Amino acid sequence: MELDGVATGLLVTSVDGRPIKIEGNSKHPDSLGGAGIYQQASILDLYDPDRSQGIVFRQGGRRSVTWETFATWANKEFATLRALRGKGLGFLVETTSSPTVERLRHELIEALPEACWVKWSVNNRDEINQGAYLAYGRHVRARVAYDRAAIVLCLDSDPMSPASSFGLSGGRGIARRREPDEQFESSRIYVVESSFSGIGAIADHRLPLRSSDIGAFVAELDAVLSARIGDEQKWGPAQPRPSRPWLETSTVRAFITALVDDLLNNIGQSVVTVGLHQPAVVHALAHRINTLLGNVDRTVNYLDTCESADEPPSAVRQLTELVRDMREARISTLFILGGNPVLTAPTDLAFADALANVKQSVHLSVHEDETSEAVNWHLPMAHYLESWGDCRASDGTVSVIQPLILPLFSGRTTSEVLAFLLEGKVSNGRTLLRKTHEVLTEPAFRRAVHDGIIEGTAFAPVMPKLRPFAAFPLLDQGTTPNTLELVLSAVTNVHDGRFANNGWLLELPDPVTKVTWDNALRVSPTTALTLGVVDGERVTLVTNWKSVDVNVAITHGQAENSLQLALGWGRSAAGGLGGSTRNQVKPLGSNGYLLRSCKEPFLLPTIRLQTTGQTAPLARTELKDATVSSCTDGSRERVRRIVREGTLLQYKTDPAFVKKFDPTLVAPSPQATTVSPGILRWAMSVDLNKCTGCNACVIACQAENNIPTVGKTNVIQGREMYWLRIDRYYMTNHDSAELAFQPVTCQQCENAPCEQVCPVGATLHSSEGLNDMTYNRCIGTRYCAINCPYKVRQFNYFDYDSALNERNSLLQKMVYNPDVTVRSRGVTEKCTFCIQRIRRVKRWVKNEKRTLADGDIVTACQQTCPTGAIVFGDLNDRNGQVAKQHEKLRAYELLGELENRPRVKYLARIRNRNPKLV
Amino acid sequence: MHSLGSTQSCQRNSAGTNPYAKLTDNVAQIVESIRPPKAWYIAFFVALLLLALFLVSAAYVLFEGIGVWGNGNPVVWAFDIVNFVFWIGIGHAGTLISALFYLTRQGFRTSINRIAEAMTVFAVICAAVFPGIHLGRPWLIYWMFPSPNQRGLWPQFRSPLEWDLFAVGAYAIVSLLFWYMGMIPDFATIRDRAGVSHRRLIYGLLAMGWRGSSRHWHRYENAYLLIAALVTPLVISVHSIVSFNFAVTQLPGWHSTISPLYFVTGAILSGFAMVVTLAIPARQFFGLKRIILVRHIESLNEIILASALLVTFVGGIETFSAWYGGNVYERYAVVNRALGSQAWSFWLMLVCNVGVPQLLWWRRIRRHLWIGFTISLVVNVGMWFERFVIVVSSLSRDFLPGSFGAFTPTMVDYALLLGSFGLFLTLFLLFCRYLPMVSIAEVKSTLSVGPRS
Repeated sequence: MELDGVATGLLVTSVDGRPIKIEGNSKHPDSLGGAGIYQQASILDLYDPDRSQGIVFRQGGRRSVTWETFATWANKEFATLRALRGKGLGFLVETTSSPTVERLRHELIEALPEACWVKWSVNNRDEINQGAYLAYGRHVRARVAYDRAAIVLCLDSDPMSPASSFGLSGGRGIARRREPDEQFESSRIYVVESSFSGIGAIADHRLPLRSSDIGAFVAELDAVLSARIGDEQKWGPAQPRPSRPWLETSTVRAFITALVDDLLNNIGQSVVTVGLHQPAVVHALAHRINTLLGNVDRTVNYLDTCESADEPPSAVRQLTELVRDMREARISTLFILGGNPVLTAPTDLAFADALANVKQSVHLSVHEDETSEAVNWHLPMAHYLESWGDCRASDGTVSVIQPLILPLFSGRTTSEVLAFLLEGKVSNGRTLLRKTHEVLTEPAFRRAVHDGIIEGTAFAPVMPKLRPFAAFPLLDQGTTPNTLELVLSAVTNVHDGRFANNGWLLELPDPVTKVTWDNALRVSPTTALTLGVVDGERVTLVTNWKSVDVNVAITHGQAENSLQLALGWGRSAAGGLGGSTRNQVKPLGSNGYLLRSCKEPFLLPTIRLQTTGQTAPLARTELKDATVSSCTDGSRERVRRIVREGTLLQYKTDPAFVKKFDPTLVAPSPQATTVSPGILRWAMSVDLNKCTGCNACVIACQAENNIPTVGKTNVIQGREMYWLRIDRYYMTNHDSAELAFQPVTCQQCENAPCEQVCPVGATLHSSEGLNDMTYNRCIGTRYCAINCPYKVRQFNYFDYDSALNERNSLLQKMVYNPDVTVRSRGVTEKCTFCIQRIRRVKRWVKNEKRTLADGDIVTACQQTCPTGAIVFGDLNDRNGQVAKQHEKLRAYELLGELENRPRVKYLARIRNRNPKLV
Repeated sequence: MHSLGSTQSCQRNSAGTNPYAKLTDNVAQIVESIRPPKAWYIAFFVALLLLALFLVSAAYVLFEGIGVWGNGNPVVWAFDIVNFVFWIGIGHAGTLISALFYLTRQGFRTSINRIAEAMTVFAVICAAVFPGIHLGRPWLIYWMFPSPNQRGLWPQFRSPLEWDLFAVGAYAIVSLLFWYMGMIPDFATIRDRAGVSHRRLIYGLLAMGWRGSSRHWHRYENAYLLIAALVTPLVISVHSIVSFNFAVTQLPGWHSTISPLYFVTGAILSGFAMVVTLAIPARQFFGLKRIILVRHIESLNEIILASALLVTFVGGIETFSAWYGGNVYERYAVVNRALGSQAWSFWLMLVCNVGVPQLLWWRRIRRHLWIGFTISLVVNVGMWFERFVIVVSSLSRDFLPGSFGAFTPTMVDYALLLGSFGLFLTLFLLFCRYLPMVSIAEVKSTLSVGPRS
């Protein structure tokens, strides 16, 4: 699957010819076996009933036509264009790294040299590329080996998020350095960011700072470092120290001092990364700092992306030029292949107006979206699970996409459309792909299709030389500290809006605010107090040219005077869930795109906020403040006991420190630790040190176990059906909050309280120690849910799948996992430890006439976890992974004092604090 | 006399000055009169409206699923169980008055025991509806019964819900028997007064051939005593077992050994309050002033005061042990009741159940009918909220703050609550109209005239 030009290798389970479940491909450098929420949930998009189901021609009215009609038109059109050498022809293509598309582009430009070709995506790498160019004078891509970094400094960046250059592999690397059990060693993570990210949650030290202040922070860091180790002859002058009052506060001062010491003590073993949204100069400075610290070629490797040595193209500038051409009628035929530029183009470009000026326009997309409604021809795009294709991983490795199903709605891929335009006839996607990789022999190609990657296609490493560069005036301009900034993000649940009709992702709670079905504005408690807004209030964000109404979600840990809003919501043509003007469906959330401009696409340094006086309840899956551990009612003590944390030093001096959290009043009871070989005892362990709250496991569980979505009203009533939820706890509150995530699933207690209270015996203990739930037997007293202290039992208040019994929902039903019962109204359900997977593997093993080995059975959540925080296996296998995890000294049982004897153990979080900052 | 209807019929049927005959007249004429008082019609109309609301909303719940309520996770039980416990509690006073006071020979019970017993039966009916419709799949409720079947399935007897089924079932059966048996001599009286009419046939059937012979009376007295002895432990056991539904779980705020005591005392308080609520209007509108005396109401009020003090004490002990026990979860459960998001219900409960009953220390208030009536209503509001506090507050905040939740009732929740009063009132008003509201035979035994005095 490709997102923003980076591929994530996947393996897909297909049953009866229909793909039903997505998993990471362990051979793929950007997956390493893991998958994120987008990958997991993309399967639902394949069966989205609101997907575009045919070609639509718009002129005056909306008319469904056939590919033949389009073909006739296109052939005629291209005959004319060929004569004009492509003059007036434009292509606006969603950013892709596909070698096949690249090949076709070359062929196209050869045939039609005057045609223009523009790439566009919201999460473009303009600033990253510019930054690298500023620093090195050439086009390189940085790739960080996090597993070699002892000190990680993230500046508004999340190496685990798909928008980083690392896909999901960054998380793996970081997690590998967060295993303190044997050597009592761990990397130390510093995070400076405006809004909580996954890495911010697992950081050892986190400094909430407005995104607009990151530049000054990095300049200061550069100045301090250069003063200590900088060689002006070699690296050029340092940045002048910016004058900012906040830089002089004791907190920031101490943070910088401690950080600098740590960096200097770990020369060549640290890394500084900068987020996508930050301006190029900040990226350039990070490159400089990495070079100063000797990290290049050790923790930071550079790859030659084989692009020209010239200054890298800027997507925004290219798009601006294209729009100018469109407006001035220099473009008469425009092909928009993928993407949704009417929605995503910066508002000040007025893309839709310009598009109206284009005589003939074509849009290829999976959904009939905002752009489709503004063009003449809308073509259905094939879902990636329906297509042949290729794209590059972040390290350049070519990944091969093979279809699992024929296009459901005669969709075609970008390369198929391009090839058709070029050749005037339909080409098979596989033929096109084969032609791109014609150097491969047939067996090699088959192997590549099988493995999903073509070995040896990664970009070549380079060792670029740092250019000395002058001070950047921009860094010292800055803004006055009290202005309110707005940060827009296109890496939240719906990405850039492409998943705005995906029920799983819409209902998926935001990791930090826990808001579902909305993109609420994150506001820090202090700022909220200053502005006089309350949680759930509807406010208006006002820029110089536009205003947007949004709901406020007060979020601890958000930097003061910094607001964050997710992009991709508030859609007018997403579909029956996300909003559709055509079908009278109100948009979900607010459209942050309206506030973007070319100059300030993500980071708006000044914004005004007006209250509207209206409030509405946010559909949260957790109470806003209940998990703040500072209340006077004993929750602090309670949360410390639930999410156990310690510092590395504490762990080293007292490895059994987690036991100290056990309540003292409980009489110790003999533990059932007898090992009986031959009997299986399923168990799980969750390493809190590695959980970034990314939610991938939640969606994986949903996909695997046919878990329904329930909708906003039901979420407000607390009826979300997740078998696995991630609890978010603020370990300290207010603006400098620290977060902890705790995935909670059925703990499969040996002494299960749920089993005892069911009047009809619908939940019973299996011989392998699982609490089996017999749906058929359940009469729905919900008594088990009451007696479950973890509250992991979910009740079907309605028949949530009833709508799918209708005849026209055959499509939606295709996503069901046939191995898992679809539950009806009135029964209770819960995590089964993926019993269907256990049974399946047992069958295999039996057929292979061998015994079960550790790691044979992998639960859905464990499989997808990008950091490998979840381990599952047989506790009776003393050499098995899970037994080892359970024996670790930082392992503890959640609410163990209740004597439920859970089969899940959590590994306490170890924060590697800098002693100078404690 | 305030009620015109009964006054007239009283005069018409007056049989001289014989107090026994007068009493018989007084009670039987309510059943015999062609037109009940106007107040009855108004009340019955309102009750029927509420009953209709009840039936419609219950049908809606059965058809759509209990998602139409406000219940969610973690508050999986809410109004359904609150109403159940409330109505079961109401029933208690009936049993207490008829059985326990019978055994302890409390003469004043005779005037109100029939009303109280009827109340018990109707309250149990109202209560039984809720566990039925609150099931996820109510059509499978029979799986809870230990019926022999070929599916090889059997109830799970370790579940307190199963105990509850038997406790409430036994209670319903015994209460019905007790009530019905007590009415047999009165049915016979009405039959004998009826002349030739349909009434003679119906009440004749109900009287089951009662002739009032001394052998009948002998058997009757023995049986009555036996059932009274049988039903007396039920007063304690039913609500204790209902409380086990809560106490046996490990939920903070529920998991407590004092729960049975708390529930039983609470039930007595609410039951007696309900008796006052019913007895005062019944007395007023059906001309029973000379049977249900102010003295009797005063005695009821004294019991209300006593049980309110008991409830306060037990609640206080619960709070104390939460603090003294040192369990953070228990402690938080108590703090959350008083200071959490549902704190208003806790304070309302305290005002209604602890504060207002203190007025009954004053004799004048105890004897003042309409103040007493108001207090009894307030107490029952408080008792409903007591169950609400126990069920909802405890469920909404249990162990893991990550799974804390909240509860907001829906219109259907309110409709069923109101509607259940409709069911209760309809049954009670029909009882007032068609069944002997006062135990004629038993009251006679306490009359201070003739050789008996």
